Amino acid sequence: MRRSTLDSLPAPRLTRSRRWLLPALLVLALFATGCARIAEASGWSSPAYDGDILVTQSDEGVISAFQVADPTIPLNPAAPLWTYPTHNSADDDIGFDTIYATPIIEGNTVYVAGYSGTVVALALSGDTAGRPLPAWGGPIELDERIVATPALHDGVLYVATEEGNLHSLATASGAAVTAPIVVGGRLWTQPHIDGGRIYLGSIDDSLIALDLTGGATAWRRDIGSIAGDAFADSSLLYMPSLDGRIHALDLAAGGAERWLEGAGGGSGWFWGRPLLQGSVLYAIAVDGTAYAFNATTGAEQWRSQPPDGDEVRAAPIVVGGVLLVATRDGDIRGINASNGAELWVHSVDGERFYADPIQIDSNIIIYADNDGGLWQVNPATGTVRVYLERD
Amino acid sequence: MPIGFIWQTFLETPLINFMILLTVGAFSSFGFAILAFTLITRVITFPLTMRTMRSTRAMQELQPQIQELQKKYSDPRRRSEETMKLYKESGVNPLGCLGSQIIQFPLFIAMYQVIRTTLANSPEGVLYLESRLYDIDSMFGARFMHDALPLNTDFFFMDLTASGTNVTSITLMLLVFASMWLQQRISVSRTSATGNQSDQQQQMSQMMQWMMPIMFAAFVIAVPAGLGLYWTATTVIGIILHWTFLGPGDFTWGSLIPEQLQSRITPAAGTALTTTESDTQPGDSSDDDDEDASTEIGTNDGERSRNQRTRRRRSGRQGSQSTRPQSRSSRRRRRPRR
Repeated sequence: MRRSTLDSLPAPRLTRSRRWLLPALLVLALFATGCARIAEASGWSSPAYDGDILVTQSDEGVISAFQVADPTIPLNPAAPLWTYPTHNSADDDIGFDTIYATPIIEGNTVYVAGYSGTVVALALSGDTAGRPLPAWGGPIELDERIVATPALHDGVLYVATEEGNLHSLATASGAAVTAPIVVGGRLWTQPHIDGGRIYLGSIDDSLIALDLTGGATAWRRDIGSIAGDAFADSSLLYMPSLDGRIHALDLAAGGAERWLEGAGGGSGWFWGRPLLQGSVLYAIAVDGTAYAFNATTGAEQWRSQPPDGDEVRAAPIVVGGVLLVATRDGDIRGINASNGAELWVHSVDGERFYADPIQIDSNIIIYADNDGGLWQVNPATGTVRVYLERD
Repeated sequence: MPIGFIWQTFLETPLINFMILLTVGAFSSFGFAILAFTLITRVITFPLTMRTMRSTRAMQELQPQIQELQKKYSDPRRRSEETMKLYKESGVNPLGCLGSQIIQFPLFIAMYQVIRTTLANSPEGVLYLESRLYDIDSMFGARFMHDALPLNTDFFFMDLTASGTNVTSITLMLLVFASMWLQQRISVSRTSATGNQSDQQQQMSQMMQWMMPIMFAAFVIAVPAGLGLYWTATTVIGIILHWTFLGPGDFTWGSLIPEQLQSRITPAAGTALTTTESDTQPGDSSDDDDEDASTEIGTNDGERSRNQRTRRRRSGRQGSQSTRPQSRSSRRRRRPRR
């Protein structure tokens, strides 16, 4: 039998099975595109409370204000004072996408910065007809992603963006006070302002100190990637870092470390804002381990490791000697703040807690879930109940 | 055990950790890690790729005999039986290429998910990625895995997390389109050249040559740019493998140049080529070719390829004798002369 060489061969024909295989593979690829389990941006804005009105992200990219008559009584069901945007024809183009930044209340104004780069100032009580009342003649579009909670100082709203820029807006008019300062890296942490300087943590770089006037870089300190907010106490800044440590930086001494190499040193990250109470600094690692450090020396006093390492981003809070830890999987743990012993655990099925908690009464803590609902926790008893049900 | 758990535990999570280890090894460059990852996975799946190529080639070699059977037997059942008999006698498994592609496909999907997960740039995405890391750092007493995150996603002028209409995505979209189009063009070149396809098959081949690149190029705009880099790299490696082990078929780089431009650049060469090719009918082979073919019986693939390459070089020097099947561009050139 005569055999042919490749070049003299006839055409390879698409057999029936292969003809169908290629379109089938394409369909499957399309299917896989939709099914890939990717954590999309859904926002973790904490509520803000001024003692009378509570402002919260009631739905993804929607902010609502509620009158709080008695903090101990759940708002549920409650009609909001106002909701923004209203999605009426007047503000049809306005969209926050979602909101990470905690709203800032000052006087009768609340400032909201959305992930889409939209910044708006709203009258806290709304108008007389129960509608939102935007100041500045409408929202300001920065066209840059905003994750960090803005900082307010001397009539200027400082907004750090994911694109690494620092914008300064006049609170009276919304106008840019200066041209944006290019800082670099993704800025996800709330700027801290102290002594004529603004301190910014970058997830791609580290801690940067800028002069408020002029924006010149005063110093940079490499303490690992920074994603979470710092706790400030006079001139000390307790900064959580993805290098697995909490760094105590003396701002008056050019950011010198108060503790040698910082505290912690585990394999995980610190993301959530630490909390200083008396002489103890509490911090929760992303793997769910709670730590208590001596605030003066940085020495570890105790640690409490959960049996299953739930992901934690929410900041800790201590009320009545109970340290609260909320996880992505919907668990809220009560821990004895003096020795780290676990007191109780409450699981809220199907909810995720990323947002920082707020205290609205002597013994009432509010957690916002990622779907716009609010949960009321009594740390003393470990009771958890719905404070505001989402729509 | 749910399939999602198995998928994640035994395929996706190990690959995510491997990808991050590669980034550490690639001087914290995620772009180089993607290229290394592509190369390694292509090497690992090389036996499967080879099996597919061999199966494809074996099917090609049987096509004349299958066509004869199709002409000979009008009864579909008998035709099917005879075809299967032919496959069996020739030692060809008609599902050979199908099976290996099915095995490779989950790996492709896993890689796709791995790159999307590792490139996640939303705050939740970065947190989620941390939760997928093995505690290798504790085992070695060093923080190389956790410190590698968040990944450095800059690669030359590109931001590998970018998606949408930006310079990075558009550049990668063009690269993905060009490389995939070229791959399709090379793989279908022999098919279209000999002209013994049905109209439907020709339409299908032509459609796939454009549809696949267009679809994947469109994906690149919608997904992180790192995936575009991965698709470009894997396609280029695929072209190299195809070229090395199956040869280019009737594909020539000159055929990519539009005919009018070609004749403007080298009018003399164009005339010479046209004259020569007009003397050769599609499917014809010269005596010289037959002689070469007969001497190649029983040689292995490598020897055969070497012989073909030598023959091509020889014919190239002579400047007139082409042993390759005609390209579509050369067939098109002939029409105005009639």
